[in-house]
Amino acid sequence: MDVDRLAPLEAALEEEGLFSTRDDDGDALRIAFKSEGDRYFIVSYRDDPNFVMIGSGWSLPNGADPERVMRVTNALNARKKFVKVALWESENDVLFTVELCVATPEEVRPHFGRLLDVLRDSALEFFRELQA
Amino acid sequence: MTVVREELARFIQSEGHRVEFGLFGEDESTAELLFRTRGYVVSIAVHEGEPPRFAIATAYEIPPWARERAQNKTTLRDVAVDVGGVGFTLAPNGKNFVVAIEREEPLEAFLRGFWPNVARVREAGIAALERILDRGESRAAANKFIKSLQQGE
Repeated sequence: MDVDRLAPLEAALEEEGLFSTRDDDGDALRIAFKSEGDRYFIVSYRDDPNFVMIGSGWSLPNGADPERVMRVTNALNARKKFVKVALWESENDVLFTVELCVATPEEVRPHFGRLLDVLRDSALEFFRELQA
Repeated sequence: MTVVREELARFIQSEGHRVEFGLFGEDESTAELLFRTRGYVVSIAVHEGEPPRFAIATAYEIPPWARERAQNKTTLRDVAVDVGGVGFTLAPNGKNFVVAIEREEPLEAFLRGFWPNVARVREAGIAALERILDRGESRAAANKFIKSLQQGE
């Protein structure tokens, strides 16, 4: 039987009082949700069931200095726990992800709030430092 | 007729959060909306009017060992002065306190400042709780010290 590996994280979102939607296909299981107006996603791949990614994507401001963007990105990658920051889509977007190796996504559930906070804080710090 | 509470509920839902309607006063012009964010339940009291009045509030529980009502009342008053723009109410039984921001403005203006104000309430509550716990721990350490002196250790 095909187990819904993301069900525990859907339950975590439900507990947190957040709406979510599913968009599964043959390759991946995906959850999309918003919190305080910002969009997030959760992905698990069918051929790599121990991998779970929680993330959010943001557009870079027009005219952002690429060198400065790289410096801020690198500084965050070096400093923040859990989070990977990457430039994406011809370097017009920035992607914040937490990528985990778990026996079951149930392991993530008690820490879900913390991981979401880390993603939020990373995006906040990224754009604050970009504007500084 | 679309009332302010319904528009506000739609806004919070469009931002990703489930909303419940809480207790209504006897006067139907007042309503309470409840939603969760970052692990806290946030209450929005809405009084329909021109302009409408709003109160954003969150409750915090004080651990049993730190429930010294007189001291905590003073601490909350001090934090309110330090933070500014927020009000604290300590429950009569001293078990919890509520931190709130009140606004009287058109809905559009309220929505523009909605998340920053929710964040201010949360941060003020956390700051107050940390200060209460710090004092509680200091008091516990002092009591332990005094007790050990009395025992002649």
